[in-house]
Amino acid sequence: MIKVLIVDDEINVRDDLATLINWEEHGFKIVGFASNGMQALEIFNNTNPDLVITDILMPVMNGIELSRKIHEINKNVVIVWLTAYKKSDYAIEAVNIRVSKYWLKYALNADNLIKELSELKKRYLRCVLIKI
Amino acid sequence: MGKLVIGINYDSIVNAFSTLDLEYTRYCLVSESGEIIYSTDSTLNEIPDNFLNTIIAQGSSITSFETKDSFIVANTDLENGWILVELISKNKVYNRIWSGLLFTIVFGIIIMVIASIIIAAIMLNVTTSIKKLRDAMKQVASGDLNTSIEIKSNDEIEELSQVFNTMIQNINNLIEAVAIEEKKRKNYEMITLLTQINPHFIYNTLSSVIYLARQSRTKDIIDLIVSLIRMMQRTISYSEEFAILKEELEYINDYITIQKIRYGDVFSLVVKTDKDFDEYKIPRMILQPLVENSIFHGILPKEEAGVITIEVKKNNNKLLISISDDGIGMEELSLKKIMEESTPFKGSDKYINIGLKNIMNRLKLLYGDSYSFEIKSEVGKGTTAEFAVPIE
Repeated sequence: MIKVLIVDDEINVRDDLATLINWEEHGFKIVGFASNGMQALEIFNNTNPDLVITDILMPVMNGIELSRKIHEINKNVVIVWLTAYKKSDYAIEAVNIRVSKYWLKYALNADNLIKELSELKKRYLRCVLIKI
Repeated sequence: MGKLVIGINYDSIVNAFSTLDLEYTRYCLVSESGEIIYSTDSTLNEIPDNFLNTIIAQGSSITSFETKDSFIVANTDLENGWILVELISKNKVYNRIWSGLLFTIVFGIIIMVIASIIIAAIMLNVTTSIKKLRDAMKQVASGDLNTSIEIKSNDEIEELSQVFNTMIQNINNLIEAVAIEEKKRKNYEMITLLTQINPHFIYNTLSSVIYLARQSRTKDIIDLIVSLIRMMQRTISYSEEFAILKEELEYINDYITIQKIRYGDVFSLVVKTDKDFDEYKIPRMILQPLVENSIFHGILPKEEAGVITIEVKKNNNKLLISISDDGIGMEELSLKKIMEESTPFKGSDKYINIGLKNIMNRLKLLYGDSYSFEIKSEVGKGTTAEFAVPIE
């Protein structure tokens, strides 16, 4: 199972993502939720997730800083940024931090989430195999 | 055959010659036989001997001759056949010419000197005025537009200086007008910014509707949409700088409703006011950034439920409004940084790009010095933002 950490300051986004699909049916297990970067980092250290889905703008610590810190700890973690609207401001940072995907919150539904997760799963497994 | 002898009074001849100017010319009256009848000067020996005979022989009426010292002119045209000889002294004539010339030269020099002094004085006056004008222009060119010059020369330079002063005055008036326009424009931009809902807030709120719909939370969807519609109606319908307190509190209530649905029931709003204050005017959208600050910097980081309190009081002719939270509070350094930032609160709800510095600037713009704004914070206890504005 690929371990997933969901980070968003909005409880509805966290709840929606968690209930949108049956994660375990697709080989994913949600190991934690966090409402800001600082909290996420603490959960990350305790649960060692393989995939972190995080909002960008959050209080206390934003998603960009969180992503940077996670990759300092483990650069193989797959990171996906959640955003409420299309904005190119973060594109360069996303490349620099090696963020894998950029998901538009409102466009997410069960079908495309499954499709996206499937791609991420392949990428993750490739990385693991290379490591072996 | 008789002989007629005519006697002429010699004195009459002497008298006739005495009336003549004898300074330069000497006269000599000679008979047709060459005998000197009368001479104004006894020393007429300079007339050459054969001169008179030659004249008589020639028979011409006027003959001139030049010797070393004199010009000699002989006039034979007299009725009685006598000859009038005039000896004009070269020396005296030349002296007269030289003295005349000398006088002319000296007089000319004096005139030239006087003219030069007058011209120099005029030139000095003109160049001094031009220098003044040049210096004033240099000052203006270096950016000093408080320059003015006073030239009293009763000429074109004075006119030029007056035109210069008028021009500078016009430039200053224009700059002032542009500055006023710019201030108005900035104020208008600020009002526009403040009275509009940030599109990001709308995106986020509408996105929430999707999540809520998927969870079948119908009541929350209705509450969220109703609050959003009311907020939008207010921002679309009103463009004035001021709003009545009641409206602003309703706006905050709708804002809190939406945020509570989005972020969970982790904060509550307590409003302490008096019905009598409802109609008092306060700057539109002044409360919202402060409430947002309480949510994102105070309560959400605390990760447990918190309370935001808005308290309205009246003190003399001022309305005192405080927005306090029981959140994590801030260290002095963070508070100072936030106070000085004109950028949005870091990690905020992306709702509105207004920093605390902008709030203070806006209050200053609206009330001059008759307002106060203060933020107090204590780590672990919370933050209070308080402002006082004149009652209008």
